[in-house]
Amino acid sequence: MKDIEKEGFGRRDFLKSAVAGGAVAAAATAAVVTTQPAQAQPAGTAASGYAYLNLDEAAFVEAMVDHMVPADQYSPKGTDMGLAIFIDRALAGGWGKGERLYMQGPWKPGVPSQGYQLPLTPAELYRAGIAATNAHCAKTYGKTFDRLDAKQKQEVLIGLSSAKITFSDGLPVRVFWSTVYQTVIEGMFADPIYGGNRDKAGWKMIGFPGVIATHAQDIIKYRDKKFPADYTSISDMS
Amino acid sequence: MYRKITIAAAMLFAMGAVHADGDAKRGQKLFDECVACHAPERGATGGVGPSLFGVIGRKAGEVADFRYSPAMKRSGVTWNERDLDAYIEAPQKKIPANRMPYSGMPEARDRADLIAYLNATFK
Amino acid sequence: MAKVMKEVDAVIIGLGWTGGILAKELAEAGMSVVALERGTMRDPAKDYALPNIRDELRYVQRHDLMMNTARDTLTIRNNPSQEALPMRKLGSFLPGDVVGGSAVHWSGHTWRWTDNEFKIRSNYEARYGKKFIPGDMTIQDWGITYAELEPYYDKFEYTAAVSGKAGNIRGKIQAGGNPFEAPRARDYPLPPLTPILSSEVFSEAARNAGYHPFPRPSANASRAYVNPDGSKFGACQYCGYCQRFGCEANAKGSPHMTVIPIAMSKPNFELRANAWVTRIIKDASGKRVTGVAYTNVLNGEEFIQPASMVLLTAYAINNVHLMLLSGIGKPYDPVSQTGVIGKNYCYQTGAGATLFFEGRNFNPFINAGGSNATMDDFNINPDFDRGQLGFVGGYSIGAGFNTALPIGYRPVPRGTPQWGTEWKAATSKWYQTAMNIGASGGVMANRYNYYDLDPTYRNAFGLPLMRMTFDYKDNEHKMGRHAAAQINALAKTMNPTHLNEASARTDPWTVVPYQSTHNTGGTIMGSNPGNSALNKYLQSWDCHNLFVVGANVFPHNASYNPTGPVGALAYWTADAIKNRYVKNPGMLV
Repeated sequence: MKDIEKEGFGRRDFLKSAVAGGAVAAAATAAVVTTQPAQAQPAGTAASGYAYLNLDEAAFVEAMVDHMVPADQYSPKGTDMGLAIFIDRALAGGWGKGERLYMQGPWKPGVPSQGYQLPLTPAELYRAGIAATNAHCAKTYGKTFDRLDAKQKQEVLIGLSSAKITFSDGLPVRVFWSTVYQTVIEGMFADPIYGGNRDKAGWKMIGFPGVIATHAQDIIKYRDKKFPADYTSISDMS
Repeated sequence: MYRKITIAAAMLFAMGAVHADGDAKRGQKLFDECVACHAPERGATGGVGPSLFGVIGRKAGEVADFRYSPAMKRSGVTWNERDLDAYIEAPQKKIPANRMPYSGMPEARDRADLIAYLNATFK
Repeated sequence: MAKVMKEVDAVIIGLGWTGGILAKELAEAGMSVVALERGTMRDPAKDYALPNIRDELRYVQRHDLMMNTARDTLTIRNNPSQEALPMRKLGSFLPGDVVGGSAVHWSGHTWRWTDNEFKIRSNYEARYGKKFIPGDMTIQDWGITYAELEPYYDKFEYTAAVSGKAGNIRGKIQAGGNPFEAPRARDYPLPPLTPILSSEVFSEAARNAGYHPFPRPSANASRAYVNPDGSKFGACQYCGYCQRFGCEANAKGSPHMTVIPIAMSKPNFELRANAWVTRIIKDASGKRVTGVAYTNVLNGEEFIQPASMVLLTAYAINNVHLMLLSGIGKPYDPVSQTGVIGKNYCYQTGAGATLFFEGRNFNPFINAGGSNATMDDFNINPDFDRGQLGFVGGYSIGAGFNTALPIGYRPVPRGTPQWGTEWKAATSKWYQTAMNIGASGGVMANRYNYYDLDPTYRNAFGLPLMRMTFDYKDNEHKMGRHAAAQINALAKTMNPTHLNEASARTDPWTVVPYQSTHNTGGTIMGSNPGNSALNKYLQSWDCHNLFVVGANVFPHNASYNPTGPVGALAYWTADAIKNRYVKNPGMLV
């Protein structure tokens, strides 16, 4: 049951540890190794403009992804990686509309081990959560999240991720945050055809080569060696 | 982003090629690596890969009823023994972004025998 | 009014490994067979082809090949005093939902379960005394022996192209294999997969500590292969997209590229996809079934398919659900401990550590589904004494990678922030320089872990959802603590730069996140109708022309993945039907 340590275990501990903010070895390594000169790149980026987010929501999402994924030596900033576009398209599409969610009542809060129990699609949850977060920000700082300074944004996100913030309208903050976090991560590392991970910047950050993966000879050839990734997306092969 | 086929690969072939006297019988055994996807029969369809009947002398990406990658269709290759050798050795190097899930056959002699078999059988 | 179809010899419900094997075997024996699969048909050449199959968002996050919970799901709770609520989206386990079933997206791990499991109660009582087994632990012997099943394991391993190294051939221990395994008639059909660095590093440390690591047997063809039926396999390319994905190279042993196409080539076999079976129909006596009712999900039209025999071969959970919906056999009641349908639902448990090695390159994106070294020193090792430890069952420990794609797999040391430059630095630094050691442990049957029908919630066909009542008990907690301690001790001998230690789980079982699609029990096999739903040939004690095949027949769950015995039992049942049942229909025991 390899999966436990891979997903369950890791993610859970990750959430717990997030606020501890302990010492971390942050020595920057050369993250991006491109051995091949880039030729003309298929665009692979979605058109700008939003299909679901309204003006307030767009401002929130853009501010959030740029705070969570700042421009640095590892990647461009969140909006430049297409994260806001990715999130908007995800919410506007089948997943955001809850196409595979069991949506029959009766609705009860249940216990945490019973998982997701809200009568909301991901798109509805996002909308309600942004409104509730902005209400918290207005009450605490006198302005919406996108107009806060970096330190205040950090306070809010830590409050959400640790559930120290509670929403006065009853929306469970943990459920909102886990959905938000999932979409940010998906936007960074999903194939660029979905609008995020623009120019494969998420993959380049960690050295994940993408979709061409005929590795039968590479196990020996690159045993304990850095793999010279030729970053390839679905668009590059289409 | 993709490397163009290097001159080196072609040179290597020119110096060490053994295609002409490849062992078709041994090549038949080596073709076992290919049969999960490629049917040897003329006009075979529905496989994971296209039929290899008559591949030598054929333009890449032209078997009817097979959906090739854009890279293969764009490649401009007409399969001769030299191109086939380079492709089988390192498919992603010869035609980057093609969609054949195969890492390549590293031994020159193996490739020569395989090509001899393809030559002898599929035309 | 449902349309009545022409009667056939056998109707098969669900077309994955078990349905596929039975479809091929019975069609080859000349029987008229119809298979009803609620999912869609998918064709590897179109649906599992590059580049679109390499899409983590679609296949891992959005469950493209999995059961759609909008249509049908379960309700879940940890104990009978809780109110069960629907699993509104997939999480802990992922049943497949296409022709080929979960065997399209499995990783290929193929184990032989042995008399360690089949005689579990007898073995523990003999060795540790009757009192060693807690009163609420409802483990029981399976009514079958390893010797009976050995030829069928062999048949399944050769069909599915299992790569591995034998540890025991006819009693002779083989270097490099699992020395604790039961004797096998011959080696695996294919040599082991090329080991990846993380499994080699683990193996070396395990050997140094006196343990016995070996390459995990897996249905990922280590070289091109033609199986005894003539099905052709390409060599595994170690693409790193195995678990949750169909294989584009036909290198993963799956029914959609082996047994199912063979069945489909027979004129006496018919596959109907998009056919959702809602009920198995009994005759007036209640001692025979006469066919099944199903709905064409493309247009809602209802049908009756009469058949001389019914083979229930859907996913393990759905097999139990259909038995309950059809009123076949007496439902299990945990209070009176009577009835059998729903009894002994089991799952698996585990623990894991992440080891960070600055400067190393594990290339976690290069792997087969079975790129893993495993040791059974705390599992089937006869010298592993549970007397002082006080738990039943065991766990295997392994290391390697299987589908470590970046949305789901981004190891960082504990204490790393969740976002920002510091997080990105750690994610960038450790993605390629970390590895995992994990334990997979069995779950023993318990009186209060069971299935029944939910009183409140219904599926898209208006039928009651199945209710799952499950939690880990003291036995699993003891085992988990032991496993975590062994993993941490071993990990420390490897001197990682940083170690995220394994810890035993203490929280109740939860439906999120993903844990394992190894749900077992519910219609268990056994030696008498008082304590089991099926006899050793997986024949219903209540209706002799109904056979139920899948991990739902396991009376408890072991540390191993279930597909080895599931496949072997499908061949075993096929033989019993072909060679005995059709000649003289009636109870085989």
